[in-house]
Amino acid sequence: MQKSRITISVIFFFLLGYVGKAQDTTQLKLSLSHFAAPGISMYELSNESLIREKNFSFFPFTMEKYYIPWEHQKHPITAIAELGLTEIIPWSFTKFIRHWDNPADNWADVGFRSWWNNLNYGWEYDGDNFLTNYFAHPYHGSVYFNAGRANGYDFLESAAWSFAGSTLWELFGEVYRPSINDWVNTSVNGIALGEITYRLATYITDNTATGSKRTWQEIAGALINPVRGLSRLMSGEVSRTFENPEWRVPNEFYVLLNTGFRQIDRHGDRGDQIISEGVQEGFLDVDVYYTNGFDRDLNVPFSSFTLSASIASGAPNLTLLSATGNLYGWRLKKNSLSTHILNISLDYLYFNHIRTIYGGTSIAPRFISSFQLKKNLNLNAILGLNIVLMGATPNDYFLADDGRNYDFGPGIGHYIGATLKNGVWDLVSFYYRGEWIWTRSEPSGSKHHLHTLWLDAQYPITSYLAIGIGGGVYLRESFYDAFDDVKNRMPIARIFIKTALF
Amino acid sequence: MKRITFLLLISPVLMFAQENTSTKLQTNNESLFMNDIVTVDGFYTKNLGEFGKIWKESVGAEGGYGYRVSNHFIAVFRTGLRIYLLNDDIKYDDASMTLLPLHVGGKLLFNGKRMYPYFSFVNGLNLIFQNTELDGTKRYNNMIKYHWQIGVGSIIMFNKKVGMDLSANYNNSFYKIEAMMTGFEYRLGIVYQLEK
Repeated sequence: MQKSRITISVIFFFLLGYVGKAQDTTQLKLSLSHFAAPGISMYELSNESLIREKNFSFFPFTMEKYYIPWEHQKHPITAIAELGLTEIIPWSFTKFIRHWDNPADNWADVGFRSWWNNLNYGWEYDGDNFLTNYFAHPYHGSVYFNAGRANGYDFLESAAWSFAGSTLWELFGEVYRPSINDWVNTSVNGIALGEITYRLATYITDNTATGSKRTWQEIAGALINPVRGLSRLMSGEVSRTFENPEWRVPNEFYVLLNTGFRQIDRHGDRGDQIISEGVQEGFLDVDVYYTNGFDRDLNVPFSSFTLSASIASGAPNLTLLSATGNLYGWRLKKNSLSTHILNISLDYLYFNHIRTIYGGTSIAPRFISSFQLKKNLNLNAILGLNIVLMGATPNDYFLADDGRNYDFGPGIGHYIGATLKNGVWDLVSFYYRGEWIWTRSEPSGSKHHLHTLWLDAQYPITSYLAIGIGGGVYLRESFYDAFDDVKNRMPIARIFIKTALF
Repeated sequence: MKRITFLLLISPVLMFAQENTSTKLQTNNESLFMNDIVTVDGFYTKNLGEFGKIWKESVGAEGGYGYRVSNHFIAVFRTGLRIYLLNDDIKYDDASMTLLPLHVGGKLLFNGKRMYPYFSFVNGLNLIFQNTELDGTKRYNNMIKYHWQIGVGSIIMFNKKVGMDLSANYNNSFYKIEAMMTGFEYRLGIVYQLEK
């Protein structure tokens, strides 16, 4: 009797579970189609197994229950809370913990008076140093972006979070007038870095992994993208096994490490004496390539991107941080031997050397062509424009109290480049980049014409190691209304070894 | 036996939880709202800061087109004319400042049936025409400056075609670094919804 009651109960319960599950599946497929509309969600939701949870639990019927991933639904409250947290943490540190010799210098000492002043007097260009404006602010913007991105918002919607976070900070987070250069650099560069860190963290964290492998993946993902890590922690996904988003693994992904030494002209105006007058330094470059420019869906933002960083043994240590990712594109022609696309990308550039800096926030429409010359040998060519939303380049006659020795302004430029490519190796590559920047910050009354020319050659010794040489020149022509014009040239030569990590 | 009882006790909870989730999703699935729209707005701006000490307020009208990007987002393109009015204390002879806006932006709309609250962000260029500097110097000067505006508002539809757009905005546009065009702007407009 007891046995038959147990059997009936168990069968009944499984039936209940099955009925509930069947209804739920239909409902979810209908409901989630809303989020699967183009541009609404990056996830492919047509496959119902996507939301099947694989967790084992004590009760056998729950092994096959359905789970909706956190990022399939919008979580505005969590997103607002995380955005607030990312604003309050740096503000609180400055206001309450950082020591100020003169308390009046505490820029976080805000209140109704400073807020009203900021609303009254509006935008200005700030006097912060280059590292703050072109590294710290873009990073902060990426955190704002991910408050949306890690809580169910798509790329465009998350861009609004980046702008909103930056606007709040500029108007209400500092006693200073809101800074237009901060607003652009934080918001727009934050979008680029935010989407890149979001995609890298998603790539690193495999939702189906378990054990110590999963633990280390979650830690690494959270280090790359702390806001996403926090969202996963709060939603419980950090320890849950479920299907990965379809786009998680890119078609092509590799990381190149490039180390060697380079010689840079010390004075900037004696480029012909690079060997005798130069300063030597060691460097380490990291280049991350995610998918490629030809096989991906051109209309999914940042489905293809590159991220590069370079550190040097001499000061400044961080000499390069750049990112470029596609926003929208058109495939113009494709056949077995060549592909041609028109691509609009979002570019971020931080370039900081001994005598030269350049900061750029650009939208770049470019024609990109790839010709297959032999098996595993391609010639890639790029020709396009740079529409500079906010550029920064040195001013030879100005130094602000807070360290700014450069001008801000919009600009326009062009880019031409070609690469002979064998797998991951760029056998020969060159590019020329030219830009005009019109100064809008104080002191205004200047404009700058910038040129960068670069040539590299690599010879692969093994499948994972190459040696190379390269060199280039950075030339700045600055024209001042009230001072003498300046021409500054900075040649660089380098030798290096390069290895492919993945 | 305890296990069976426990299973039976929690089964309604599990079923309820599934229903609850589905209900929530169904709400999100409601297809909202608008098609492309055409707008005609009138507005009044109370200027702030150093600029507001001279040019106290401005009035104007704009025509616009709203392109429906998604259920919750409308891209906005608009242009028109804005006329600035001097502060009562300022006695500059024959001083005038007019502005032609070329603005793009978007409205992020929230759920509604007849009433659609929204956040808006608009930016673009202002073509400024003036014959007098802030200090009273007579000088014809044309400028092109960056414009920036955020705001909140609501579209209220009277029927499927026609509605009203009410909003309050904060402007922070470039003029001179020591006197930006800041101000609070109040808008009232007519919305006409186009056919799909």
